[in-house]
Amino acid sequence: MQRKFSRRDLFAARTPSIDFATYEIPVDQVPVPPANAEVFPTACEYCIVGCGYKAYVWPHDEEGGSKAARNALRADFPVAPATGAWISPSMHNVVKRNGKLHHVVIVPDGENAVNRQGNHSVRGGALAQKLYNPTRPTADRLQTPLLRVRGMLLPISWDAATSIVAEVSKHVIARHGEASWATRFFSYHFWENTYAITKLAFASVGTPNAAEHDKPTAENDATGLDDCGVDGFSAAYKDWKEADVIYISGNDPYENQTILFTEWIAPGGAKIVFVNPRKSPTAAYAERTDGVHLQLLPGTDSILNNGIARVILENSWEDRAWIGKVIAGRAEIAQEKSNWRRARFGLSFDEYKAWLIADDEYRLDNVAKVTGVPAQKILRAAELIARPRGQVRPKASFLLEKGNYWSFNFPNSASLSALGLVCGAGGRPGQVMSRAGGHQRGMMKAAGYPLAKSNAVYHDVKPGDPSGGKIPLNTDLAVFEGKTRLTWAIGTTWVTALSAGQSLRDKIAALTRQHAAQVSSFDKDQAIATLKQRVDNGGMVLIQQDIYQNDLTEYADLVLPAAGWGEENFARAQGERRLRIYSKFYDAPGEAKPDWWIVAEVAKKMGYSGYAWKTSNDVFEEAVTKSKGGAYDATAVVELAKRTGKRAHDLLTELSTTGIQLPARIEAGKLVGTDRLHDQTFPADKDANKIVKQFNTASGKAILMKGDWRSVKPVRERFSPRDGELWITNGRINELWQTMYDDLRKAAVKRRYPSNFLFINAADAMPRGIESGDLVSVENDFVVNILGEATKGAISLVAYVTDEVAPGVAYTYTFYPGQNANNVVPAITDPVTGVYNYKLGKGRVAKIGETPLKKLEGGMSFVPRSIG
Amino acid sequence: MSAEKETACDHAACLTRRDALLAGGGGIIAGMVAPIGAASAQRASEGVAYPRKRVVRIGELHDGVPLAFTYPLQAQPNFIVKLGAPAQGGVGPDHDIVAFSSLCTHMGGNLRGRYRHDLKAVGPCPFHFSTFDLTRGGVAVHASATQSLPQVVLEIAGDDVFAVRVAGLIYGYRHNLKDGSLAEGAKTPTMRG
Ligand code: SF4
Ligand code: FES
Repeated sequence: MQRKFSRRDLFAARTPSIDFATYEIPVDQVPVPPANAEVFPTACEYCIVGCGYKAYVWPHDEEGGSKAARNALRADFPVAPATGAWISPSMHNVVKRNGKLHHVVIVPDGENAVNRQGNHSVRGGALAQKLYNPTRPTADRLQTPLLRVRGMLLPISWDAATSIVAEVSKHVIARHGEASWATRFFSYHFWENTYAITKLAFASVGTPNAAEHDKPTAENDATGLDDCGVDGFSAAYKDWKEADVIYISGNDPYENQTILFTEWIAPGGAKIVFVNPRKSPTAAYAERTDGVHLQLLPGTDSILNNGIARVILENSWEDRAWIGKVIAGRAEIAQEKSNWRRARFGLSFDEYKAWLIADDEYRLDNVAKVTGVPAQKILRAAELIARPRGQVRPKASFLLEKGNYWSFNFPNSASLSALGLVCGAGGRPGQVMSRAGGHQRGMMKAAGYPLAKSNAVYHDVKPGDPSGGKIPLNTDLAVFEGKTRLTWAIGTTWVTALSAGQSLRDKIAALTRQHAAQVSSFDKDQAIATLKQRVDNGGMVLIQQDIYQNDLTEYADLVLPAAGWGEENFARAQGERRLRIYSKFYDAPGEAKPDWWIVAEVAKKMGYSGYAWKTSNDVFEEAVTKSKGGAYDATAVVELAKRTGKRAHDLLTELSTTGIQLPARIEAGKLVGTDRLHDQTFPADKDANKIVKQFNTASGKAILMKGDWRSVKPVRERFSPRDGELWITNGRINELWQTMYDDLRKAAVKRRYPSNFLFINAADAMPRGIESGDLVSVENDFVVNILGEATKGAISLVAYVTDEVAPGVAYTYTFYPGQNANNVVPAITDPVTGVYNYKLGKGRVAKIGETPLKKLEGGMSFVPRSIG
Repeated sequence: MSAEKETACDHAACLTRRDALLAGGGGIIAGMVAPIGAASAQRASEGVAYPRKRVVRIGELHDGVPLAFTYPLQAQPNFIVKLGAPAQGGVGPDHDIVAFSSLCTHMGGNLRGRYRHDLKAVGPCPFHFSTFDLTRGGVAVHASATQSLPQVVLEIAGDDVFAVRVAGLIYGYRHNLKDGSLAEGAKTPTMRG
């Protein structure tokens, strides 16, 4: 039907336009690199999968042509689907290289061993958008050291900044002891940097007051998996393709390890047993492809894993031959002299079986009741992973991540690893257990954590427990107790990441910004004297080292600008231990310096020796000496480089985006990598590290660890929602990477998620009058902090009504800046390991308004994400 | 898109035959419906002269039944659909007629047959499951793609729907108007200022 038209309509129609939801005008062309563009191998900055990329860099006033011979991609335009040669507009930027303006395109490399045909995720595909360019949203990169003078962060010189850090550090250590000098630091941002940081913290200072970015303690991640003898990254990606069935616990691989899923899991056709409170995209895939989604209630993983194991044992579906061969008995467990958890919680197979059968908690009907998963789905899962088809066992593999080990760290991961072992998984082609992983493996420790100096012990320690039942100290607790006088936070937001975030902020503010001693002059000596006064009068000095200001910056006394990905030559490994070079291809902004350089400057000024590195290659070659004998043994790389007169980084550059899977060894003058660890098929006569051939235990056998739901039950009960509250659980989401330091500056990502969201089921939304796009508040009056005090926590979020979450369980992104999920998450520590159970937030949900996003023009999509 | 309909008739061919009959009808005439918010002066592609192509008559569009057409180049497949709900850039009396590229902006997966009328979305892509919201400018709901699905800017003149521009780079191309010949029926504009 036609309506009447005014002149205005006619005028409007002359300038047709799409009412773009953002201020971004869609681009409809990209420059193509000319045939002589410089090409740099690198790998993705972001997730664990570690896809290979190449950076093509060329002067800004040149351009390649559409024919293969005339461009560096060697591609004819238009390029065919699935060739990996297309440059999406997200892959282009303009940067300075050696002070001159250059185009850069960062394109997935189709020739490497990880993301073949140039597959990539929404995250890595926009790597170019992260690069510093002062005309773009990355303009606010930190460029110069800043000192808070009269309340404002103001530029100072590197010399002044490093002198202040060094002098105050020396004073803190001399006056208050090394345990009052703390660092919280990324474990992912390249071996060169983590090596320098741990050299200072553990080898030079010797502090036990240190933790990696995502934990309050220097504890492992999936502790129950490590304890059973399986390294967190033991599998080869090809194992997921060979598996018949994959049990995925607390992780969505499409969302979080996208290429692992789209290149290595989906193409192999394995059926998926998907254990997750969310009906997330991979859940929809699992159900569509004849697998099963076990949509359990938060925190019930251990009873579910044990319940499934019990079904398997009752039906004698366990892998008897395998168990007889590789599972440790009492005598082998007794060899565990340095790991008290193994000594305390390790079980022989007969003990394990007797325990599960005897405890009525693990009866199928009770497991169904507690987890909320229908009994027939639990049975189906048990059948899929363990029931032999005739004489043939299904090849079952097991994948877990933070949804598992961050909602009761030890019992969840231990129960999962034991379930995997009885199904025959661990170190066989297609039969593996691994973490899915978050960030890449960028940690190379210069020295071990000084456990003997920790004041923390397992609450139920018994005489004779190996190492006295000691656990690493809780660094948040040390702050609350006033023990920490200086914290150097490197590449971590801390207040966003740790539990009971608002209580933590209050404490840090009181110790820093609200303390009487505040710097009021650029005079270096005065500044040092003031900060010494601060630490001697119960306060704390906070040094932040990062690439952008973030949620932590408002408390910082000093801010040090770091150079990162693409701005220095670095190396690290990914989720199948593949070591690669991350090339420097453009100029870091301003005076930003790599973290290793900053640490070395401070260390030298503190009077320590061993920091005279000239280049990142120097640091790398030294760091690699510490890898010997372990899962990341790269000594062969340096050895081969030396033999051939090369620098190790240059050899890595030659290995390009494929790199080498560690541990590496030299055979006939060539580097040979390792597919999988604990490899039961590895030729016995071949020489290799013990971890390659055997499980990572004293005896070399795998240990069934007792992941006891009964240790979880009372804690979970205490922190469960009541009186109309919902679970407010949290995690990652496909488009968003960690604290969104880059995403905040990527237009397409901000368009998709202009706000943090609350996924809420219609059954919870309707009675509260909530629709998609409404502004909702979440409040929790029982956010217990690390001192055990009940504090209040609150966040506001945009509602996203979806059946992705079940009634009673809402979900939000963990690290959205300014809208932190941890505001409503209590600091519940795992009873065994002291790691926070970050997933167990809860709160009252109410509508407090509408957001502009609710309107069509607002531009946020509320279409369900899990289309089956 | 409904697979049955697609196989019954190759719409690209059907439409271009009709287009040929109506060639020359590209002038601006009375009876145009402005897209929502069209007063904005934003331009998708500064400095690029897009051709104009008659895509379909409004009466030929039925709620939820996508039709295929090529634009601006002959090798660039798109679909036009009446969503039955207002959309960003939607034209027609109900502001619900939209058109998008059929090539997934991730790695060029063909989205043909993947329209979900219940959700006003297209996907999941057969290659790696990207899904795009057609009411919100083709934004990726959940994707491996880093770009929204390119939206074909539409205009209505009388009973006809015209394609006049594309917002976003079409998969496989370095430039929406280079490395190929114009789609059948696509005319270089004469009345665009
Ligand atoms: S899957 Fe991970 S490593 Fe690969 S491109 Fe995406 S974020 Fe990067
Ligand atoms: S091509 Fe569509 S998701 Fe990859």
